[in-house]
Amino acid sequence: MTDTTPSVGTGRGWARLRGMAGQLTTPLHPDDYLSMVNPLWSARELRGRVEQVVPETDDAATLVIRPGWGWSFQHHAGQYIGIGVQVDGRFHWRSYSLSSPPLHDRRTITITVRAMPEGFLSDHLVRGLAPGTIVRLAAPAGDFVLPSPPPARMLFLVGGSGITPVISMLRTLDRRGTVPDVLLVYSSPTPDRMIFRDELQALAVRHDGFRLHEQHTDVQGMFDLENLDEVCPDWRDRETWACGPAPMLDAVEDFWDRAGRREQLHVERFSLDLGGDGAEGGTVTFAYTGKQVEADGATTLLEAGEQAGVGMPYGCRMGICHTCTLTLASGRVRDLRSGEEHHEPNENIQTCVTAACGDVTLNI
Amino acid sequence: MTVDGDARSTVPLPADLADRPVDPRRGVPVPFVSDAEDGTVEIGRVVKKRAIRCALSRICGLCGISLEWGVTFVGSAEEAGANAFHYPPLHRGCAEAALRLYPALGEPVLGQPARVDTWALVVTGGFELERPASRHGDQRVAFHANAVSEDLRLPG
Amino acid sequence: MAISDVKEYTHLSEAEVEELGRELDAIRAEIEASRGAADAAYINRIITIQRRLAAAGRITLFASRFPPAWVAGTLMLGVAKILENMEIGHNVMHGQWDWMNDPEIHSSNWEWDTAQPAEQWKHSHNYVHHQFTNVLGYDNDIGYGILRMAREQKWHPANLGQPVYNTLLALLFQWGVALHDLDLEAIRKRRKDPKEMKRQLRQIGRKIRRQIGKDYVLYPLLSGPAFLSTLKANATANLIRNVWSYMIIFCGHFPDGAMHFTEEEIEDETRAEWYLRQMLGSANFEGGPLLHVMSGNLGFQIEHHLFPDLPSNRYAEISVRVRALCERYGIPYTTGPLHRQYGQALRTIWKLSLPNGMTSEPDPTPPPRRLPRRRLTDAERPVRRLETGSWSRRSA
Repeated sequence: MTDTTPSVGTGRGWARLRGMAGQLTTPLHPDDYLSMVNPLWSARELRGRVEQVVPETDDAATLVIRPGWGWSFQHHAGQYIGIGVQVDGRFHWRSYSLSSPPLHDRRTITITVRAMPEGFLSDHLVRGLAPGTIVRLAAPAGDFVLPSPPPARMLFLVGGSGITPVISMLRTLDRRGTVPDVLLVYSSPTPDRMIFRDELQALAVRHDGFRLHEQHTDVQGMFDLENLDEVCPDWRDRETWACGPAPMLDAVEDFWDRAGRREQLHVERFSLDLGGDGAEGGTVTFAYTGKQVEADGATTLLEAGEQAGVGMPYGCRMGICHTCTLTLASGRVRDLRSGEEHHEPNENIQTCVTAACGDVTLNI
Repeated sequence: MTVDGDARSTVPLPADLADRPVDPRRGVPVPFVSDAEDGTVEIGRVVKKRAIRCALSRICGLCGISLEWGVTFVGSAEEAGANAFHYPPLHRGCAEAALRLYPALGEPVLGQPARVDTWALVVTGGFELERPASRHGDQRVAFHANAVSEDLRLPG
Repeated sequence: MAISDVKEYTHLSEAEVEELGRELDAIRAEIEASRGAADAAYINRIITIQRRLAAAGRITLFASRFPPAWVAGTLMLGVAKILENMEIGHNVMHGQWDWMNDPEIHSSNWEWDTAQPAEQWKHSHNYVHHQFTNVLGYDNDIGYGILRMAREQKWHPANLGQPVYNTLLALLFQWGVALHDLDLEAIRKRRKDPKEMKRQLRQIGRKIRRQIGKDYVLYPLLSGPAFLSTLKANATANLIRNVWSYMIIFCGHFPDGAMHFTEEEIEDETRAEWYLRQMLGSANFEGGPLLHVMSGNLGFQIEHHLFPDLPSNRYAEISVRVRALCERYGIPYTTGPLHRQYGQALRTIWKLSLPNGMTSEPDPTPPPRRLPRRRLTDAERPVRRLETGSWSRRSA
């Protein structure tokens, strides 16, 4: 099962030879010189070359990456990798789930990235990255994996870009030719925004055991877990994997907890990186109710409103769905993801990812 | 990752941190940056001279050994929001062990003046050292991360 | 004359010093904010050039029995070693490039091609030298424990041999640097912790073994019949690097105009006073871009000491603004041609090998105040005691 035919330069014998050659290059490593000839000829830091950027939908693309030396292609379906991209001189790191199955051609791996509207790196990866770019990589990790052998019946609950680890699992099953009884409930705003839709529909045609339930939330609304019995009557007996926006996962966890079946549920959370410049904080005033609250630079306006007891609208709480958008009557706020500031009176801002920079008044 | 209430004997420590002299009263290693070289032990203090040394020599404020890539700062959520930390740079492993170990002592630790509700752990490529501007006011040095790759919040 | 109070020496009031500090802070903030792709490209280019030169030098030296190959190979290798030591290693270890978040160009794991382990360099240079710059009794770079470089340092008959030690230090500079963090003076005064010394010696031993193995055993052996000529070539390349880096470094704080300071100066030093000490204690030299790259941009020693962790390729543009600031505040800005700066350092080495009584004291007059005279505010006026014994301020 484990095929370890290495490419030239990466086998154990070659590694030993390079180690001995280290005596000649000390304190550097031979890879430091080899990588000047070909950037992929270095195992010192994992890296890869972006071979292709394949658009999937308007806002998502698959990056086909050729890893350099030191890469083990034997990841488990569902795991994620770290990818470091140099933008304006600095390396920025993010994690993305591998969408390719393990060992699929032993030369490349793929990740599928969806551009968040204000997510500066994901946008760059989808729209700005040129093939040929060298990126840094971090080895595959994560427990959200397809077990081997896979269980006879499986349920996948997926929202938006949460499809990426799951598609890796489905492709793995497809390659093996044996797809057991699998039901995928896939929520996305519209059919056009549904990544891998064609591939999934083809999969459903090819394998009797695979069923696809599409939920177009713009038209049909969010998938209500109370209706799960209709779509999947035997869900209580299935191993379930869920991946999607945080509130969806919160609801799913809660639902499975109440049914006393939490151990059957596997969840993968894509956490939002709030690592942008912080804000200073200030007094947040809610104009309609007159309520006020002191918020620090790390508390989002949404959290501040909830602390103040104001009924604040929210959706994904990640800056994607725009449900939380309110009008900024006055003051200055900062987007915690990008550091960008907004201060035009009557500007629309997303409260779930912005914090106050000084005193702020919201129209709510 | 939450902070364990009674973790003192069970928190695994990175080797270099475990090598540090241990405070007999509390049973925890004395951080490198709180050693004022006068025999006294104040587990949460930041000795300015040591903090500057950690920043310039690129060594960990807890174990005193050379930093690795993935320099880590810990502090309150306010400090992280303002990108101004007052505890010197640390190894990632030392920082995570410290958050499991020191807050459980129930006293101000890791350079903080009081108990912290939410700890921030920030990983960065580089940082800047800011010396105090004047003899009046805050005499602490500050650290500003300039290449943040991870920004986590943890309950205190 | 060693300075105890930079404000007094430069005739600046506390407010003026703070203002100067703010202006320097502003320069710093601007450079920090503008670090980007061009800077990243610069350091990557220098590293690529240096590694190619090193590889080319080593390969050429396989034919070292052939005199033109010997010369070419030695020169290429020498230049590569100089670049690695000065523009790359020294600057990367200061953290100047940490902002790129690149694990391959980072202060925490960079090890440089010389006998001293990086960890010890980061302690003795980044911390001891840059924090206590030119403070007598604290900064070990004032003479490196073997040369008397300040009149305040007590004369000893052994100092008579100074010109000889100086020559030896120049030729064997990398070995001098290797032992630097051991702190010879502390060892002599028995202040050094023996356990620490043993640990450092072990670390130095490991590094030296690898360096000697590479330059004096493996490469000569690999060149077969050219063993001896390759060995001589490698030794010469190291010598070139030693002498060049010695000369550049000695121009940093030994020319006339680079002042020394006493302990009192660093007691509760504010940030602005720290800046001022760095300016008064450092000396630049003039040259074209090639000279500056080859000297690790240490021709901008003043700027480097003001901002040790800003990228070295920015020092040239910073120097224009710093020079203007010094002009405005009446602060001496020491600079001159390379040969004159080094000449002054050499003259001082010779001069101070003799007891103070036998040589003349340099003019201790501080620079004249250049800022316009104005009325002092009430807060700045000295307090006067009246005959009745109470305190009051002389009225405007």
